[in-house]
Order: sequence, then structure tokens, then C-alpha cells
Amino acid sequence: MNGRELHFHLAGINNQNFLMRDEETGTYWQQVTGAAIAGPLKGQHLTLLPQDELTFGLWKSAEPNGTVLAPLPLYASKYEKADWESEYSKLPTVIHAAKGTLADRETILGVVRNGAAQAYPFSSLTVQSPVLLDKLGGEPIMLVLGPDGKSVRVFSRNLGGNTLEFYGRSAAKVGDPWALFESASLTEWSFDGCALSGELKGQCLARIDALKDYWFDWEHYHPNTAIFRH
Amino acid sequence: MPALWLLLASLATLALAAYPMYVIRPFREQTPAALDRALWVLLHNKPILLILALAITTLALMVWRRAGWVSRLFLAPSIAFVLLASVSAWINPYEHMFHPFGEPHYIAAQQAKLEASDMVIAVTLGGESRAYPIREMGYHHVVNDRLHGLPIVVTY
Repeated sequence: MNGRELHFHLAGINNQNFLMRDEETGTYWQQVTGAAIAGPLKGQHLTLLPQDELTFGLWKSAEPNGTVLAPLPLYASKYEKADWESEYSKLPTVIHAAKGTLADRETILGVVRNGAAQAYPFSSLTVQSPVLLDKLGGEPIMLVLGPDGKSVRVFSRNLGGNTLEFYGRSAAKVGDPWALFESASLTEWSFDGCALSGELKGQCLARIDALKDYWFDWEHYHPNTAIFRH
Repeated sequence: MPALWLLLASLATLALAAYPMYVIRPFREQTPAALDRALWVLLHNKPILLILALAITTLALMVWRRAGWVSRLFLAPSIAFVLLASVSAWINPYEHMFHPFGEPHYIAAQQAKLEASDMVIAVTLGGESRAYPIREMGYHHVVNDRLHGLPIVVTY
């Protein structure tokens, strides 16, 4: 932050999203927005780095020389169980979504383009239908479910001023051969959003930040959000 | 009766110290106004509670010398409560929940004992990639780290 290295720790909770505090200035920060909400740095924002939420298997095949955060053995017994997501989806919430037909704890992918926010329920993407084309804030975008059936990436479909159309190879189940095609050229593209053949070979679509969140939390911070419908 | 007033002032001091913990507690809605007040108290409570504790303790000790045993029954808890309140300003229980991660250590991707289907948060900077297992992050919530020389904080 402004040339100063800060160290954060958990310091409280605000409507089921946690507050952090930095050791250096004592400022309180909201985790989901990265905004300083009280204290000396109030009004500042942490810079969101590009990041991915994906399965370990898919990450390891893409980054064989990568490193993994080691667990702390003393606390390993407190780490979440493999089925934690379905357990958490049953927990009550303290604030409730004001509109829409989604349940408070429906898992969505939140995307913002040019001030327009939209929530895409994870259930809109399936291995049978892994590609979702949309336009948000005037920008043609695409959500793609990866070969692991769990990771979702969002791309701009605008490449050099042209809007591209895509479709995925439908699979019957996770693990079936995965492929992404551009409709006009019928060329194959990777989950990194890059053309693997044809005239555009080597060119890549721009990645778009997306937040995997519960619907109630996304709506709380994006009150004007729309909900994607097919 | 000064002893009674001192006891009330002491309880008010304790209430002030407890207010942020009451507002920022889990499983309860936080309204923006209450959260602002609670964080204001957390940011300013140390000098305020220290001055209140000193003032109330001094007054209570002054009254104590001339007080009867009934008054002393009020004065003793007055001193205890303000001392408790001022000490609590240095302790935020929420900052000690979930063990802070401390200095991170790493395992090579090929050696990590994770299921292929376990989710991770992956950050890649300048060709260096690091995975933060979500089941681990779901407990610790915050990890301060450096990647490719850049100080980062990974949160979940």
C-alpha cells in the first residue's frame, strides 16, 4: 500500500464476511472488497491480483513447477472436510438477499463490466453445456467451465475489435475429453483462452476477474446486480 | 451517594469496552451505523478507557477512606470493573480466533498430498505460481506471503 508493506490478520466479522486489520497502521479492512473501512488508511483499496480458483489437478498439470502452501500440522484437524461446501450451503445467513429467485447461499460467480454487475449461478454451467456467452456492460463475455468440471474462467470475447463466438464440446461426465471451439473458424482454444490452431493461433482472450461468492453476499455489495437468465 | 455513582460510571465504562465485541459478533446482522460506531470505539478505546479507569479508581480510593462498609461494597466492584474494562481494550478476542498462519512454508506441486479434485486458489506472478488449498484457507482465512518479490495477502 503506497510503497509500504502491510501484514494482515483476521479481526472481526461484518455480516458473515470477515474484517482484517493490518499490524502496521491498525486499519480495518473488509475482506471481500479489499477496502479500508475504518482507521488511518480509510478509503484506500488493496489491489486485486489476478487469481484463479481451480482444482489442484488442473493447476498441477499447468504449473508442474509450482509450489503449494504447506499445511500447519497443529491445525490440520481443524481444516475443512472435503464436502465442506455442501455443509456450508445449509448454514443460515444473518442478512437476506432482497430480490431475485436465488437462495441466499446459492453459489454464484459475480462479474462487473463497465459498472454493470451480474451474478451467474454456478448451476448455469454444466459439463453438458460448459460455455456461456453473454454481453455485460456492452462487452461480449464468456464463462467457461474447465475440464475438471469445477473451475470457471471468464473471458472477454472481444479480440482485436471483433466479437468471437464459442461453443464447447459437450461431455457426458467430468473427465471426458474437453474442448472449446471458436464458431466462425472452427478452431480449438485452450482453457487459458488461447487459440491452439488457425490464423489466430497463439492469440489469447483477455481474462476477466470474477468472484465466487454466495448470492446474499454478492447482492449486499452490488445492490444493482442483475441475475443471469438463459 | 458517591459510591453508587462511581459504580454506575464503572458499569458504563465496561459497557463501552464491551460494545464493539457485542456488535462485531458472529451470527448476527451488523448495520453500517453500528459497525462504524464499534470500529470507532476499537480505534480510540485505549486512551479513553485508561483515563476513565484512572479517574474512577482515584475517586473511588478517595471516597474509600471515609466510606462505611456499605459504600465499600459498591466501591470495590467499581475499581474491579474499570480495571477489567481498560485491560480488555488490549484484547480483541476475534483477533485470536483461528490461528494466524505466520511464516508460510511450501511444498513442491509434485510432492503435495492433495486430491486432484481439491480446490485451490492459484496466484501466478512473473512465471512463479503458487497454490493455496481452500480447505486450509477456510480455517486460517489470511496468509501473508511474497510471490515473485511482491508482498501479497491471500484471503478466503
